[in-house]
Amino acid sequence: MAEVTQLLLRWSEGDQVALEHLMPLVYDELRRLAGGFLRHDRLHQTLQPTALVHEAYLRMLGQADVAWQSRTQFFGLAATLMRRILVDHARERCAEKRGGGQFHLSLSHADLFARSPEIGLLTLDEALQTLAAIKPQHCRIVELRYFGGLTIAETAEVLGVSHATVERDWQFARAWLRRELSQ
Amino acid sequence: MQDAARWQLIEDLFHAALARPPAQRAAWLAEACPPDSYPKDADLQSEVLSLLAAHEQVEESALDFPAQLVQQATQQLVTATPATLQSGQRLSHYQIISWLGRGGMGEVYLAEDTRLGRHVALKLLPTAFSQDAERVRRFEREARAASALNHPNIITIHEISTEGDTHFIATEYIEGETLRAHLANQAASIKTVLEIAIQIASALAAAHTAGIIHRDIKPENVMIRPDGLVKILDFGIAKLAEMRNEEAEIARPSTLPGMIVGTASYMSPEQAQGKTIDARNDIFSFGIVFYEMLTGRRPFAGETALESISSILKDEPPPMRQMLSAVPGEIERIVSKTLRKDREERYQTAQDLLLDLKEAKRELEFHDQWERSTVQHQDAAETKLLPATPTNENRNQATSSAEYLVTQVKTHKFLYLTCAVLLMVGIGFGIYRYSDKAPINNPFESVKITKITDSGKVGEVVALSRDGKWLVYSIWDGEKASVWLKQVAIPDSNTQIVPPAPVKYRGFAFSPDGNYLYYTIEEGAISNCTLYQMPVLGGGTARKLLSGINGGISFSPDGKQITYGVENLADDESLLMVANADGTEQRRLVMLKGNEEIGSSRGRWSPDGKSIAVFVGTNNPLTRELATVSVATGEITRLATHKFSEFGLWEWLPDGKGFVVLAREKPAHNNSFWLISYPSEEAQKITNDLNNIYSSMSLAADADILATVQSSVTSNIWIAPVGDATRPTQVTAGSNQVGDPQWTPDGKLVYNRGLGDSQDIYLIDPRGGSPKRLTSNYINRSPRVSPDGRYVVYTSFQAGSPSIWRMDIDGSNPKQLTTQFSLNPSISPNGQEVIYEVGVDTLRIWKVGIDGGQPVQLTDQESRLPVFSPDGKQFACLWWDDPSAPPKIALIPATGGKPVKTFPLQGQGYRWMPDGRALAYFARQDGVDNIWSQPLDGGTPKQLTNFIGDGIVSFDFSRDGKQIAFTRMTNTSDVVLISGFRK
Repeated sequence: MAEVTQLLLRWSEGDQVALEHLMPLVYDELRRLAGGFLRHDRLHQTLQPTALVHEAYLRMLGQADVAWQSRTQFFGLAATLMRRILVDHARERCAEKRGGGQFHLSLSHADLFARSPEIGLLTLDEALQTLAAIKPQHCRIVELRYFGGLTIAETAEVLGVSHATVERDWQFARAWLRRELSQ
Repeated sequence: MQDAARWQLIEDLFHAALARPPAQRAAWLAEACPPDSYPKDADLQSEVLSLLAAHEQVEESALDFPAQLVQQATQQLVTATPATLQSGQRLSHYQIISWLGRGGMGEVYLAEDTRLGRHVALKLLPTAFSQDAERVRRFEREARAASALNHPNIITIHEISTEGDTHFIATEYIEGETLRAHLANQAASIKTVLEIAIQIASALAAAHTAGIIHRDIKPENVMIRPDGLVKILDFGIAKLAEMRNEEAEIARPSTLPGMIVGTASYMSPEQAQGKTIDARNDIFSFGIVFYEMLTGRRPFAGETALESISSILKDEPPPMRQMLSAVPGEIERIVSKTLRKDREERYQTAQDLLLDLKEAKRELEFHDQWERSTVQHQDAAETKLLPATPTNENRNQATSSAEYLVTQVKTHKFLYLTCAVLLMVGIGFGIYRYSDKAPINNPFESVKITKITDSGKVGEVVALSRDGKWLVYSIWDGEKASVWLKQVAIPDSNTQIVPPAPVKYRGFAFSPDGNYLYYTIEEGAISNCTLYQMPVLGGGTARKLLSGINGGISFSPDGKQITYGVENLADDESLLMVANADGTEQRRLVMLKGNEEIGSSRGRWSPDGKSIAVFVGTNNPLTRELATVSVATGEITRLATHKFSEFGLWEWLPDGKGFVVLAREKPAHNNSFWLISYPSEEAQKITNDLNNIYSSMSLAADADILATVQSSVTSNIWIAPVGDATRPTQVTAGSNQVGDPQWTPDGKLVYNRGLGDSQDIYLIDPRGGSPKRLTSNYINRSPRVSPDGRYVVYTSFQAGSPSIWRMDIDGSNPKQLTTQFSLNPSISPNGQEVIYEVGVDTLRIWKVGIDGGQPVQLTDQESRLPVFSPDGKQFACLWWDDPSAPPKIALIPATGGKPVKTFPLQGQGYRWMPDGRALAYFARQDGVDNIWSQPLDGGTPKQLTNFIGDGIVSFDFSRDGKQIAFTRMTNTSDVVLISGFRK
């Protein structure tokens, strides 16, 4: 665990090798948590990805007083990985359902989401990719907010921009996503 | 109008409109963007209007649509894998550690056998199955028979038992992966496949002799340990447990596709027809697995269980030669004899099969050896064709030592193996030539990885000379880097060619004639490097050729030109450049802008000189694809490498027909080297590395070797006298993932170790002795020792969420002190109270008695990580005045309330100095971690240690204040050669 702390610090100092080491550790931890998360006390709770990210943080870093910047940085990284895990999982599920075939995302009508979380998520991911091509920072904000559960202040911290910028971009990104997803 | 500008305009209009009252927005917009001013973009206004409408929906709707999607998907991810038992729960004398997965039998857990203190895999029978008394009886009978099997390739069954309604089996816990995962993760060589097949057949032979049929041989039931040992799971059991599903499946094939196909695909014809089966059933299933290992495909495939079964009954397997041009005839014959539909024509016993497999392996090994020695002679004849190398004398020396080794091979097999890599260096050229004459398109190669430096401090970049005989690399001592030249085939042949200097090398390249070394040095940023040229063997000064280039360079095959990249950060441009080898006549080949990026720092010129391989991608989301750029036209052709989630390094194969790349498929995977053919773009894994990071790659154009820098991370606990940390003593060895050392009054140390689901607390005497594990259930950490040395108070996750626990110093009598979501305890100096933090979203500090009792809240504002002062009158903690700003260190009275004093947060891991007058913490300066103290009276911080280099992660002072224990994390990096990835 000590390792994770130090890797996070090194990464915050610009050491990309540290990030290389860190990513699979965090990804694995999140995946593992998802596998064993359903404990008695949480059985009937609504589960947000934030809960997994928080739990991963506590389990991997909770003991050390990691600097504030590293803490938000961890959440930033975990948000990205959480998105990937959910997308990977949704793809696997779709592949399973179709007996291994390719799944084409031709369905994007709102009421489908309720029936198939996988397709809903893959559609959201596709929309985010489109958003990223137009406005990379907007996409990152959405990722941090939805998949990492970061507050506006934390998001600003991770991105190194002002509070007001995040709020403004967030407002636009949400409107854009809403339009995109209800088309 | 350009896309980016248009979007900016849309966004600006959107916000400007929002600033106006809703009723006026449309009118304002119509005025602000009259259609005629944007003749090509009449949609602008409707675009903004639709976004405004969407915004209103967002504002009005109670449900956050995407958030709901993400939440659903998360719930789905979690419920896809529900576990019946929870971590920490007990079943008989087994304590559940974690959920491992769902197998044919039902759920599988990792558990600890509390009587014997060992890890076991606990398999629960599905409840539906356990309600059928007849089945249970049969199951138990079979399992008991299987448990009598004692064979290295058969999993050991410890116990078959029942607890309440739950029937379970405890077996040996195998760390490793299933053959299914193994097949998905790497391309195995024909030799490896044979080794696995032999072990499976050996297990079958032993079981059949004992009269036990497996009934369900398939890749999911074969485990492979990291050391290569194969273990067959679930003899005679799996099928029994699955029968019920299968019957249902065959009856209703169209409604439940997928689920059972895997099993149906490995059935024998007699099994598929519902006939009675015997040992020859396993031989057929083995044949299918063997065929799949060799070709990557199942011989009888179908979309549904019924289709698979029909294929098993009537189809002949496609000849393996269609997929593998070089499959040895002997192996093809074995496969075909296992897959005969009529069991009378099949191998009659697994023993016969085993003998044939072993014979095939011997033949293959003989063939390999013969081939190598033949190739060796060709090399001797062809050395004259090699390009000039720095000295002819050295080359001859390398060749002759290779020859010497070959003659030794005949008598010393072990030597042969260990020297194989060195041999490859000498004979690589020959192998390449040889294979040109007799192309072999199969993926079966035995890849060898050999470390050839041992300093542990090798810098990020390396280069091999074209003939693979010379290696240049750097050594980074923490402050300065020096450049070294090594003869690859000769141990201890390192020569320092550039003395240590405080610079960072970002690229090395040999000129194709081998006479010059080109290197780049970073000037403040990797995108701003300077290129120098110097004679490889000294005898001249370095010449500066170019500046402002990004990373390193690559030569054209004729050595007349170089390619490199330029990053123009101000304009957000990345460029691929070409220039003469002396730096003159620079010209721009490609320029990409904005979110699009060309990874020009690692451009690699193709062997035919016509194109340059680079990556192109976008920054958000992060995408990287390999591409070739035409040198004549600058045209970019992307290759289909998007299957990789991360993409690092690449080199052309010498014949230009492919690449070696370093990449990973998913973030959770480790990096591996892959071969990608070109232009057909088939990818094939050539290494399956576990824990290392690679930071550079250089392929010798005329040899079958590549050099790379491999780095890994370890952490260990050290102790040193306070005031003289220059000669520390290492306490834990060879491990990693240790941390949080804490002294006991009698000079021992407790610490935690582990990752993920198994983190435990250990006790060690630094004066000697081995570590003793104090906890063994799920996650336990943050140990704190009571002043009298009697107790360890710690955070444990055994009840699900973290809570504070206490145990005796020998690990006995664990007692839960809190039921809150609590962690990070600190014990008062009188040993009576424990303070700790509570909560996830809001963080508060609480206290509880050392024997438990009613907890009391101490702070009412964001605060965490409390540490008691030595006099017990106050505690220090992290404190947030403003939740969105970085925290401070606060001193708070032991009775709670507001801080009496706050300091800015300097570093990490703060502790009280033993005298109580200062706080100690570690902080990094100039890349070095040291421990500092901050006096409480506000004086300037004082440096307490004088470490150089390695990182500190946590520390603690001994009770008498004379010694310090700390965790140190080390990165080691060395050059490794990878060979044998290509024939």
